[in-house]
Amino acid sequence: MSLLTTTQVTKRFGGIVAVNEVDLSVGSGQICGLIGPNGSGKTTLVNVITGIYKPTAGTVSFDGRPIHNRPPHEICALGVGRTFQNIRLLLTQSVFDNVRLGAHVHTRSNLWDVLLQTRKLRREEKEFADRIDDVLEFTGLIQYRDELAKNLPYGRQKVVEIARALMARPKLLLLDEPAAGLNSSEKGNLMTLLRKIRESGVSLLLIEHEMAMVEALSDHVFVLNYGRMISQGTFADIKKDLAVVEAYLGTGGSSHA
Amino acid sequence: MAKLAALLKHIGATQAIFLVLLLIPLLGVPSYQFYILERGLQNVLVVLSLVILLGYTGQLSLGQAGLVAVGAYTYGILCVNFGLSPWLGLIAAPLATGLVGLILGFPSFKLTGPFLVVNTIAFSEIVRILILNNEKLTGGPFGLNRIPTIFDGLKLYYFMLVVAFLAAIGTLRLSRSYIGLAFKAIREDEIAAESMGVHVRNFKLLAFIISAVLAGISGVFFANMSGYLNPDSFTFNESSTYLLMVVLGGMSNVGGGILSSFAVTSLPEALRFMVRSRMVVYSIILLLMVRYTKVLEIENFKRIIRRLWPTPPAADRDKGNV
Repeated sequence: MSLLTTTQVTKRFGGIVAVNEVDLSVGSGQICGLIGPNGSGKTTLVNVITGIYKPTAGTVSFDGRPIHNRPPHEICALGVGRTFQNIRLLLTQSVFDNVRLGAHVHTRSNLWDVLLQTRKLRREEKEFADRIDDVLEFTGLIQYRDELAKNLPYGRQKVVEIARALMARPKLLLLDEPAAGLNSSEKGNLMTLLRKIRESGVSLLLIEHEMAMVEALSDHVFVLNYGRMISQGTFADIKKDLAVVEAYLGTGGSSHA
Repeated sequence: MAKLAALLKHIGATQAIFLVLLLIPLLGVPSYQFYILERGLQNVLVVLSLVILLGYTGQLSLGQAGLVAVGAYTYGILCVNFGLSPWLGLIAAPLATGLVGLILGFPSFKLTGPFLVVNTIAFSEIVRILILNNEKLTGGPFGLNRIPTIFDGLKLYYFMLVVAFLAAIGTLRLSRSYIGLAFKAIREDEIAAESMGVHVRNFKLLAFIISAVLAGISGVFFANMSGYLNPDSFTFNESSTYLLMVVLGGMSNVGGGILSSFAVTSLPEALRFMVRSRMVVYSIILLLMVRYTKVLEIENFKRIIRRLWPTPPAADRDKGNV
C-alpha cells in the first residue's frame, strides 16, 4: 500500500520548471531513494511534499489524504518528518530542547498550563523527557543530551535532526542528503540507524548522492533530471538505464570530440 | 556573606532582585529617588514584553511606547471620561492593548527585519498622533488630568512589585516551556519551526499579544504614578530606550533585563548634577555599555559570585549533606 503519492507534481519558479510532472510513490515500510544530479529538483520536490512550497500543478497525497494545500505544520502533524540539507537546528539550544521541539505536535498543554505549571503540564513534560531520552538512546546521542547543538560536530548535528524528526513519531521520514559531509565511519553508523528506523515501522525517502548507501538501503529508486523523472526501479535496474548514465556522465561526447 | 551567596545560587537571580526591591523602601528612600525606583519598576514590564517579543521570538519592535500609550490612555479615558472604577480599568486596559497587539502582529507574517521595525514605529506614531488630535477624548496636547488611582505611594509600589514579579516568573516559565521553545524556533529558523509542526503565525501572534498585554499593564501603572497623561511621554525616544534596556540585559535574559531597566532609568537622574553635560555623559556611558555588550547580563554577576565564593568541591558537598 502506498503511503505517499505525488501525481503529476509541477513546481515552477517564474520561467524555471524545477519539478516537472513527477509521479512518485513511497510504500509503507519502504526505503525509497531519490537521486539525480545537482539542481535536478530533489530538494524542491521535498519542499513541495512538506508544504514549504505549494505545487504549481498536481497533487500530493499522504496516508490517503490530499496534503498539497496544507501548511507545513499540519503536514508534520499528519506524520511527515524531515531533515534538511543544510542543518536547521536551534544552535543556541541544547540537544534535549532541539529534540523536544519535535514533540511540539503532540503537546496538549496550553498557555495556562505553562503559566500555572499545572500537574497536567508537569506530567506531560515528564513523559516527553522520558521519550526524548529513549530517542537519544536510539540515535546514540545520549551523551550529548545537555550539550548546546552548536558545540556538536557536524556529523552529530545531522543525527540530532533525525532524532528531532523521530520525536514527532512520523510515518514517513524525508532525509535530504543525510550523508553529505560525513566521514566513512559516520556513514556506517548512519546506515545502521536508518535500517533501525525502518524496522521501527517508519518509511523513508532518502535523497542522497552517496550511491553505495542508496544501493545498500533502497527498495526502490527514483531518478530526477532537470525536474523530470527519467527513471525508476530497483538500484540494479536504474544502474543499467542509459538515461540515468547520460544524466550523470553526459552523452557519448561525439559532438565535442 | 557566603551564606547569602549560597542562597543567591539557590533562589535564582530574578527572585533575588525582587527580594532586594521588596526591602529597598524599608531603608527610607527619599521621595524623588523613590519615584525613579517606581519608574524603573514600571519599565520592567515593558522590558519583559520585549524579552518575549524580541529576545525569544526575534520580532523587533520599536513601537512599544505606542502600546504603553494605548494601555495608559485606555485606563485614563475609561476612568476619567466614563467613570469606570480603577480596578475595572486595570483589567480593561491590558485587554484592549492585547487586542491592538494582535492587530500589530499580523504584518509580521510577511514583514521581517527592518520592514517590521518600520511598521512598529509607524504604529507608535499613529497612536501618538491620534491621541494628540482627539482632544475631546484624550485632552490632546493638554493631556488627561485627575486620573483616579488604584493605590498611592508605597501601596502602589508594592502592588506594582507583585504584578512585575508575577510577570517575571510567568516570562521565565514561558521561556522554559514548549511555548518558549516554539518562540525560539521561530527566531532561529522559521522553516525549521513550521516543518517541526509549529504554527508559526499563531505563535507570532501569541508573542505580540503577550507583549502588548505587559506593555498595557505598564501603561496603567504609568497613569497611576503620575495621575496625568500627555502624548509626549510616549515618543519614539521611549521606544528606543526600552530596546536599549533589553539589549543591555542580554536580549532573552529576564534578570538582566530587569537590572538594566533600573540602571537605564536611573542613569540620567544620577547624572543630573552635571547639568549641561549630562546628556553627553549619559550617551557616552550608554555607548560604552553597548560596546561591552550585555554588561548587565546575569551570567556576569554569577561569574563574579562564583569567583568570590567558589562552590566547594563535590566531595565536601556530599559530606555536608549527610
